[in-house]
Amino acid sequence: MVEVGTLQTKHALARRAIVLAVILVMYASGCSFKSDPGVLRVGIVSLPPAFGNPYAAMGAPGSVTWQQLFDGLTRIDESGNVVAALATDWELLDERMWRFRLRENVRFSNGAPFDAYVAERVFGWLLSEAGRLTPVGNELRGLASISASGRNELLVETRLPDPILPNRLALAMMVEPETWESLGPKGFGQKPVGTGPFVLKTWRNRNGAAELVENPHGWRTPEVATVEMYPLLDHAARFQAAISGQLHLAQSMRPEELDAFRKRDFDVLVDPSKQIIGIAFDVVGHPESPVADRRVRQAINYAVDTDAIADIITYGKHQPAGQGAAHGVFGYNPEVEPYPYDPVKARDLLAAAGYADGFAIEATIVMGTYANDVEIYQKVQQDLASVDIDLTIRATLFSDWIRQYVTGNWRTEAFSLAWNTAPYHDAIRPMEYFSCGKANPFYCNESMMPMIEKAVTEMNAVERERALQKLQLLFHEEAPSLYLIEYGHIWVSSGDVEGFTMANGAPQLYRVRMTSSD
Amino acid sequence: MKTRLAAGPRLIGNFLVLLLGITTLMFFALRAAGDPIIVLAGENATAEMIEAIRQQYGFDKPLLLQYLYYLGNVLRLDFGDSLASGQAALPYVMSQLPATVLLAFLGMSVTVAVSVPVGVWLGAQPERAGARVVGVVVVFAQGMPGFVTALILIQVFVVQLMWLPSLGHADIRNWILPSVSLASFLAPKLIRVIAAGVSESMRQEYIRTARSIGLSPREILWREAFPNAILGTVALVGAQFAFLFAGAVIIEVLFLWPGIGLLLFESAQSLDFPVLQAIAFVIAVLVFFVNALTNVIFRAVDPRIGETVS
Repeated sequence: MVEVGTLQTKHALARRAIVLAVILVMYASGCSFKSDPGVLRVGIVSLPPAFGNPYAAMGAPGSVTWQQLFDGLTRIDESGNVVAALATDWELLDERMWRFRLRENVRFSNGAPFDAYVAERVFGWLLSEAGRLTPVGNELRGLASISASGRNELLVETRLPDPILPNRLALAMMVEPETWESLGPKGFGQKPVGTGPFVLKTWRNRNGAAELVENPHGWRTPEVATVEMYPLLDHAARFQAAISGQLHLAQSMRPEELDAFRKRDFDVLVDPSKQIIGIAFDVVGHPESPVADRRVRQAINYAVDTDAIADIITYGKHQPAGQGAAHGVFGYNPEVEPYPYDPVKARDLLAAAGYADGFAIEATIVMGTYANDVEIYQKVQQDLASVDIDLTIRATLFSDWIRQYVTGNWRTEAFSLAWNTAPYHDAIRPMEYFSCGKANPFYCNESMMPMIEKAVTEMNAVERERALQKLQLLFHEEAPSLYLIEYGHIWVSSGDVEGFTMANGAPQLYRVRMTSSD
Repeated sequence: MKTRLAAGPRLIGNFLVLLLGITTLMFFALRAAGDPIIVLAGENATAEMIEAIRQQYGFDKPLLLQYLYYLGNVLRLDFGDSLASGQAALPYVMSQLPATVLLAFLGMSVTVAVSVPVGVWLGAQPERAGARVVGVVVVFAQGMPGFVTALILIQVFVVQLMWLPSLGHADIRNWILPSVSLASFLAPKLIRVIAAGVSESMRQEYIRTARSIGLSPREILWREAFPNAILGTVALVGAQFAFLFAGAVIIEVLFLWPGIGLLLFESAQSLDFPVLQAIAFVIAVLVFFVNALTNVIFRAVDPRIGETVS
């Protein structure tokens, strides 16, 4: 009898435990996971590797976060135009001297004032020996001097005429010099102080997100007081977090996922990255390869169906490309059409070059850089096979890719390389890389160099645009690359936010409004 | 007693050899993996710029000299500063450790809570139809990678039902899916080990004796058969626990769990040598101590093991 009683007590305890568990589950299910009203949650691919040091890298992923914390003298707006930021206007005094007028009453997030003397100090560091070793300092190596000519006036002298100087200065984010000097670049990275609409609270809160709050001294008042930026490198994790409503904004979604987002009242924004996805040819390092012959490079372009890539693989979200700049970029040539898909012509060109039976080539490719890039490269492989070009893809990591790119020691005769006109929205930058002017070049056409050099320094905008467009035509014909598509980053925003825009690859989070509190 | 005292220095010796091996392997393996200086310098770097950064970080010195400097610093527990963030590597890694330890404990708790009753039930009467079906499910589950289960769980409970969150570890609701995901991978093995142990025990003479003296089936199962399966259970739990410190990387990445695994994943992207070396060091220390603890538990459970060593 005692045993039965004990057993009954155990069963009663077990039943209570089950009931308690059910209550807990019901409690959990009843609670929405949007537990912090007024907090804007943004899913990004990654935080800046150097955290808050804005000179440690250029472009994404750093710029996505840095543009919330810092300002440059100028900025590139949603349409790709260079517009006022900490400088309100600027003028060219002579071929190499510019005057920038600075915004008044601007303060850093720690309350310190910003003026021309501060800017002079910041540029002084960027042009110093230590500053020049940073990617941003390296990009400003064409500056001869920067000096304040008054509290709100800055004179900038360049070594050579630099028509895109205002674009270039958008890269140089203004850091608070006292903090920068006292903490050093590494310490500053942990506790950044800028003039941006937000200030960093922590790089990783208990949700695993970087938490930004309104800059109390900011010259723009953000619509939301707190932003959480979730670094979600894994695409599936980012997608699931976004579609489940845990994120208000999410970066780098795939075209095939957009219907699912629309069904849940998300808006879709395709931000033109101003990059042309392509596969470049290492003509300099592989002079014996078939790709050293221009006809072969053209044949490769004719053999790949870029319309199908754009329409089917990217669901029409991106456009086919035939030159080294995207629509809207300064220097884009509207008369240069993408190569049409013409395998017959491709075969004719291959035969004329002595490769009627085809050949084998290898390409070093960094996979996962762009949404759907695996499918794109597979399509390239398939199309080339149909004209008897056997393309072997050697997938590699970015760290290995960049070593080969910088040293010029390519193991294969082709490699993934985008024509990247960001962050200046100007066609000249990628052209310089596809030229003899690049350190350890992979493609060098001496006859194009005078035109490239002229386009670098030409101060007459009309003349310069003409020169760039002529170069686009030449690059199209020379085909130093297989041109694929104009790529854009796909962002989604949930139905309860408004005012989401992108500028120069970064979300303008201070403009985003939340229409309902969670 | 003498032998036990002698085991102490031997254990410390093994520990030091392990650390030397791990640190040396990591040093040379990472340098063979790529050049972080070029990653730091950026794609537009000039040769002069790369050389200057190389000098700044001491990468210009001969590899052997770099290694000796590195070993000297490791003796002082100084792994250098993160190349990416500039933070001191070891404290940076240690700041992530509590989250990983929490996840490991949660995962193991769910694993043990599920495995023990299911394993004992399976082992008690393996010939039953129900047990056969569950056995097949367990084998199937064992073949399913943990991250696949995690993605399915997120799809069901986060995306479709919207019951649970999948980001971070801010509150208890964040703990459910990561720990269940880990358990889904670990539990099938443990269930099979326990079931095999219990099944083996149930065929022994002493069980027949227990039945003959009138012990209830429940008592026979839990007081007589299961204790004999504990040894194998402890061994596997120890091994799995050690695995969790290093092997929960994908789970931490999927759930944005701010632990060592997530840091490992991020640091590998940027070839952040100091952080990667510090992570390997910390994991080696943890695994060693978990294994040592497992041995202690072994001896407590079955004193014959200590005697055998003697």
